[in-house]
Amino acid sequence: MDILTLLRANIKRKKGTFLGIVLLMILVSMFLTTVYSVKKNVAKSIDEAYEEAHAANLMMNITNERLTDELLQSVKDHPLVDHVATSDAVLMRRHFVKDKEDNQSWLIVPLNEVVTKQFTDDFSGYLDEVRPISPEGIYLVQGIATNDGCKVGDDLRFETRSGEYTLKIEGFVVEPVDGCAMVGWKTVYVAPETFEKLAADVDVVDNPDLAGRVTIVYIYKNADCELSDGEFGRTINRDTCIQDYAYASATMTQMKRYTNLFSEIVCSIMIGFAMVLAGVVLIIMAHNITVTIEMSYTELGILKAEGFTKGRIRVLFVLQYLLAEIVGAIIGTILSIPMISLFGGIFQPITAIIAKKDVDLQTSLVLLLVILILSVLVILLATRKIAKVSPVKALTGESRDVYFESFLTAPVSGKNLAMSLSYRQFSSNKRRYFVAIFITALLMFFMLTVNLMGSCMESKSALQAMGSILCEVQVRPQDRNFTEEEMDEIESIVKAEADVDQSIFFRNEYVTLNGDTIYCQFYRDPEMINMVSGRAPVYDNELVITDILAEDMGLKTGDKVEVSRREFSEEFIISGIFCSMNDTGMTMAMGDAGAKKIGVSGYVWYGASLRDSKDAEKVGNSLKEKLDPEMKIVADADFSAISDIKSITTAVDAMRYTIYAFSIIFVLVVVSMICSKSFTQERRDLGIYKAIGFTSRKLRLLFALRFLIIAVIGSAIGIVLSRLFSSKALSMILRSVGISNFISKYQADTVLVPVIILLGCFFLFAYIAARKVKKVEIRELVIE
Amino acid sequence: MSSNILTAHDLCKSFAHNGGQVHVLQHVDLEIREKDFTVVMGASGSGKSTLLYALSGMDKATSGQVMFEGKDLVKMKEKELASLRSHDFGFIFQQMHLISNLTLLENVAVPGYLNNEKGASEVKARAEKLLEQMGITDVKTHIPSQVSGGEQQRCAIARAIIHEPKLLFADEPTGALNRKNTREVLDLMTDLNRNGQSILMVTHDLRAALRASRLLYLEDGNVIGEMTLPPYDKEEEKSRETQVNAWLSSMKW
Ligand SMILES: Nc1ncnc2c1ncn2[C@@H]1O[C@H](COP(=O)(O)OP(=O)(O)OP(=O)(O)O)[C@@H](O)[C@H]1O
Ligand SMILES: [Mg+2]
Repeated sequence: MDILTLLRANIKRKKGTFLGIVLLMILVSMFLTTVYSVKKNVAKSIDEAYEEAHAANLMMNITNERLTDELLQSVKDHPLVDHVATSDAVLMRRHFVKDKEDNQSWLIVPLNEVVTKQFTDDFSGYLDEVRPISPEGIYLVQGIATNDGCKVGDDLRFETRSGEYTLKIEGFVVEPVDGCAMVGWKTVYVAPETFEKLAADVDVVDNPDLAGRVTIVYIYKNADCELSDGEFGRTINRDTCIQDYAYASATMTQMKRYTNLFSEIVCSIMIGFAMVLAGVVLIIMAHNITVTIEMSYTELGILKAEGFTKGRIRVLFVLQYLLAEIVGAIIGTILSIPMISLFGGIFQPITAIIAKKDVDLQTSLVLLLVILILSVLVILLATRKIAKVSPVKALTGESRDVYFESFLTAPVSGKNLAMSLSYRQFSSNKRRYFVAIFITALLMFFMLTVNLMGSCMESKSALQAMGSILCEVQVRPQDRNFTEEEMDEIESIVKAEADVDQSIFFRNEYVTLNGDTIYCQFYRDPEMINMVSGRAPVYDNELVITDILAEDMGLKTGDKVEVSRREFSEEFIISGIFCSMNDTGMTMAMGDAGAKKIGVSGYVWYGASLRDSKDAEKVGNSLKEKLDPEMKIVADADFSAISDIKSITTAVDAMRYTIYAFSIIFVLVVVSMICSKSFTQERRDLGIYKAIGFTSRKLRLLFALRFLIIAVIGSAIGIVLSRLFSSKALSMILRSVGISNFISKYQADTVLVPVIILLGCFFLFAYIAARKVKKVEIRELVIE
Repeated sequence: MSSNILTAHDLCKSFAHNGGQVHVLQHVDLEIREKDFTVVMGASGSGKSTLLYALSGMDKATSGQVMFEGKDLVKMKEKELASLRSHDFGFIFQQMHLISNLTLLENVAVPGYLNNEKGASEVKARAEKLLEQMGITDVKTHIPSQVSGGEQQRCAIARAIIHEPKLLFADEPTGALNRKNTREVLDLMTDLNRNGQSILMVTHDLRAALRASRLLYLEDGNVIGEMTLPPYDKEEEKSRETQVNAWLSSMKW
């Protein structure tokens, strides 16, 4: 018999196993290729968009009266600088989209030739060219549509001290640098004549820190400059101090990172999951091979008696499984093409750039090759046992013993016949089901981990614990600081109406910390700061930093640092580590005393986190009644309205459902494969059960219950794994968005949904897979 | 004369084989009487097992009737047949066929638990008693592969009668046993019959046939001979053997 004939015969006979491996491999290769391609496409599209928009290496927003010609000239003359471009803008902090206030600050810019791409109104593609804009119109970026849910045709209202302006959204354009949903300010475009009018009106406003004329400065690195954007920025600032005058600045590297941040996170989780799936395929293969060898001792003995060496038998196994994998890999890669177009757009609401739809064949091939090589190793390991099959032993019918031991074995009880019998079927053959348990545990762990991520994004207390400031009630004065009296009044009004968890007077500004521009938070009451270790910054020379910033800058509690802002430059001591998600965790905070030292005074934002969110409206009404009518008051009990993570939630949900769907398909395949193997082995027992009066339905129920037991054990292990490792894993993954201490909140549905899905699938699929029980005839028992 | 417990009328069973049809049972008419120890004999391949499976509802006949308590087994659905097996019939196989991962005690008790006629503890007590009666109490916590063939078959008998079946079927229950075990198993069955158990047994073992109160002879799927005997008595075994042998020779055994 030659090996190919044997191979063909084997595949035909073990069609189920073969198809199972093919199917799993289709899923794995499709998943891997899709995720890698999407990841690469998003990054590549961002790069290209930046290039096309001629994004500067360094950009800063400087209020006009602070930007002197000398300052600008000193930057232009800097040897590392290629050229500098500027753009006039109006900074606008108070805008209502569809009558709801948007909390980001907008830079209004006259529409210029730098804008080269405009979305179709449904965001599905780009127009051939940018449409002209009317004087009453405004062009926004997609990040605003994502955060505020607005569309073309909606009205937009600006409130300034010089009056109100209403504009109509006429379209959305690509602004790759700040257009994404993750960046806290946005560039928007109006017709030049509208800009002129707006600029002239705003020029008279009295508080230039909050609204007014701004110049956006774009600084381009020399082509031969080898410094990173960050180093370039520090060098320029050291030599010119320009950054100290800016109220906001960012490097291209930073902005790209923000734009791509979320897709990176989702993709890395998905890649992790894909790896697990690939691992599952390997485990199943190994398991299948061991069982096959156990079950076909005789057959293998015959092959050996016929002169097949163990090497050739192993080659047979390798060929058989490898063939299945290759077939699956090819189909999977082909199927990934439609998948990439389907899922390639999933991050667009966040990145605000249409991603390419390319297939990353190269990476995919490398990964598949790695899987194939690992498979060969696994198969060779799993077939080691063949060496032990002796022809004589196998042919004299000395087969495996029934596995039976008292440990873990419970008596079959008359009261719970079905359950106890199923448990016996499981416990007397535990080894076979370890694989299923292990796989269930892994899937459970993954499902729980994404659920934890999702549910924490929806939980106020979890987000707060991780350093997010979430307040149902917010008050802001119009273009000025609160007065002392106002602050006292607001606090007393709010306290009279509701129980307050946190009451915060706040402002923020970018300052320079040891030469780096860092988002700094100023608190009137530094005791409010969410400390991880050390002490809140109460004295005038104290500040706190996040552990992410600490690690990034190599700082620790007790270190002395240099903080500069405009003409101020002071030495501070790090008094502790605090927790904050602002500016993706790259942030510092100080109290009132410290703020005064670097020329910051007064607060522009009040927030109250209520014990009971439902009180928000009551508090809001009371505030509106008693405070100066020009004071801007937001009171919203709806959590999603106060967190800007809506876009994230949708993507997390997409990820969650993908993981659910794949888990279900994997469970289906795993259950049917293990079930059919068990079925072959237990055919005789099934006949006997029927002979003593069991119906097919009851026997199927026993099968289903047995797999339910497996699912229960696997899920329990998965839950334990999740309790042990989910938080750590998520802290690692989410560090890039500023979460370094992920707090897991197990809510009923976090755990219940995956448990129900897994248990239900195991039970149902086993019940379906066991339908062949019907075909077992008692008559088969006589043919011996 | 006691009444009929099971009657077959015009019973046929054929198998599809190599494209053609093998007619194993051909228009069998037969009555099994209550409290009898009925033994069907016949050459190997004559269709004894096929007959037994068709009569017990373990297998569907191709055509004809098998009446039990006014109902036709041939027309029954799977659920009714299953209920018949767990309430009214008991079955002993030549190969014992105990469930490999249940202890002997559990093997006996499970059919009792299944039919729900008695409480779980009552079933368990009865199973213990039966095992004692069968003389295998010592090994009741062993699994089948840990005990001898004789012990397995005694356990199988206990399993077949745990639910006090109205009719006990046995397909060559001694076929896989040695001389000593054969004797013990047959003694147990004879005892059961003496206590009123109706038995239908198939065999081509003369020693087993001697226990019958009624003998049937099957050839080519047809009952061609019948003999009634007085209840088995060990003292008269020799003369009984002569008598049965003579009958068998007349059947061209
Ligand atoms: N599933 C089947 N398909 C085809 N032929 C069958 C099938 N089962 C039994 N037969 C044939 O039917 C005939 C009767 O078989 P059966 O097992 O009833 O004989 P038996 O009298 O019990 O024999 P033994 O004494 O050897 O047990 C045999 O010739 C057998 O080959
Ligand atoms: Mg037979």
